[in-house]
Amino acid sequence: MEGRAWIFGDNIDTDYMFPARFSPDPTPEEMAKHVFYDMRPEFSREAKPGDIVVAGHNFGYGSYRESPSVGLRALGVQVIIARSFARAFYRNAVTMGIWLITLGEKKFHCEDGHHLEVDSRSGEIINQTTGEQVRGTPLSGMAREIVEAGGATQYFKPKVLYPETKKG
Amino acid sequence: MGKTVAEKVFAKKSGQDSVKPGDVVFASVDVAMMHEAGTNGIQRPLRELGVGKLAEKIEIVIMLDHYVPAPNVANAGRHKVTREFAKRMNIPSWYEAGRGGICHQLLPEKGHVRPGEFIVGTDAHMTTYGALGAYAVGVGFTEMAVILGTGKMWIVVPESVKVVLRGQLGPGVSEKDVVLLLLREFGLSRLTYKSLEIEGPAVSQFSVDGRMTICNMCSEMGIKAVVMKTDRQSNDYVLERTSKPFKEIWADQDASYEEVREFDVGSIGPLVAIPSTPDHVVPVTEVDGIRIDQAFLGSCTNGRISDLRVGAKILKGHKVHPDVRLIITPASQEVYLQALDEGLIRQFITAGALVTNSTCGACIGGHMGVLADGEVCIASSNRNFVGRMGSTKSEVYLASPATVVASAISGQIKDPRKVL
Repeated sequence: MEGRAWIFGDNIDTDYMFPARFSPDPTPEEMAKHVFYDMRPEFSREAKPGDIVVAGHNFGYGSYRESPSVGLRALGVQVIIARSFARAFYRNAVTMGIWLITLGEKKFHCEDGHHLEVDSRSGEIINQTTGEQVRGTPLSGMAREIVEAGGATQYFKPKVLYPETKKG
Repeated sequence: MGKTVAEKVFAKKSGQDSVKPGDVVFASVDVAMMHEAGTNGIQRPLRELGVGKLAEKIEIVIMLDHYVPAPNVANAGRHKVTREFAKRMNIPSWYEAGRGGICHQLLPEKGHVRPGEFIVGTDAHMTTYGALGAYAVGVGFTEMAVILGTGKMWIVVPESVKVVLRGQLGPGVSEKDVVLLLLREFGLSRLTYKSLEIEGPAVSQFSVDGRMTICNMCSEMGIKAVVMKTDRQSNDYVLERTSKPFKEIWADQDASYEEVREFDVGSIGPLVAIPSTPDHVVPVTEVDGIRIDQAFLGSCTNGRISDLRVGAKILKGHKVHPDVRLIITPASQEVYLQALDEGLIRQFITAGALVTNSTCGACIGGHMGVLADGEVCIASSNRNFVGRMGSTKSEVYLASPATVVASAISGQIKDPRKVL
């Protein structure tokens, strides 16, 4: 996938990503309007499907509410690249079917507006604006299976113990 | 090779003889908790999953706590959705406003927390229940819907880290200061995904309320869960509140840990987390004298009867400073009633404090004590991010109940040992 990079720093917490006063919005479309609302107001207005979030360490730290992930997915963000992810955010993003790539300490310079080409399955990232390339750690195991299925709802639907019976 | 608590719990809950860190397991869930945000949040995913009936082996507990009573029409609507769901699903453990409290006080208080059980909830501070030997993790809304629909949660068995606590707490020093010490030492993300085990000779001096304080705020270190070694005191607490049988789980002596750290709780004085992250911890002496506008004694971290007693003890013979409002929010209606019986509420009010009903309240900046531009608050809660308690131009210091109340009297951040 290809998209414009939006850069964020370290320890971006869930209140920064999605102010608590809007949570939970009634629909994903409403949530999309409030992503990064206080701190980067232009994001929800200007982000296009396929845009890529690139962040530092401990991305998504703080609350366990999933509105940041729901909002990002509703905006069409398909992959997030970070040096490291906080636990709750990682699970919520995977639950929403968002691909995650972990960079750790690997050297990679990216600025706001740079154009990236990303292979979510291999973790290969090419900064088309600078030519720089890096391979991050992609999702594996269970997390990967869930995102491949499109998210937790799609993955676990067949495993529901007592599905709603259709009245015929 | 011995096993850690995480390895034992997840082997047991997934029906296997043995698991190791990195293994993916599907763990059966014993107890699932949702407050009003969680109950609202699961509605759409439950529909999308096509869930007809909820997994019946899970003990489901639902309450209103974040904004109680409803401060505006939007929240009133969420409360309505919550109570209608609880009634429709015949949830016996449904706690309406006036008959409940903050989730992380309510669950232990009402006997929903038992050693060795696996508890999930739509909140980060589920870690609190580790104080009673339960293994508890927070989950997002869609994940909760999956758990309620399938009865299980997918887990990657975590690595474990052990903390050993030794020594005796000095005068004016409490369990809150101990967890602030841990935050200073480990920071916000070094323990991400880890299963934390806390034991050591110092634990037996901590009250059960105090153990919950420590386990509650450990969540800010990014851990998966924390468990504290149970003893007669913690088991008596559980036995007084439930007759459901339980089996404690603790690690083997020769279990393998990624890291083992020892701390002397006698080596610290009162500590304070300065704006704006909970790991920016300094001795109170370094911030002594900073002017405050609001002091908050409450929250799932420090709103229990032990905390209110400490507050009353410090307040005795003093009044709240004329330039400060001291907001006191008991963690549950039961705690409120107990404080009333012990004469604490009268003491608080006659000293000039404002006592509210039980709710998360000021901690989350939505009601019951919101901060204006430029205001400073010292709080007994667990988060001090920018805008946490109101204006993005306000500041929050986190501290123990003793430090909070000592500061409320002085009009500035104050070492409680100066007031004792």
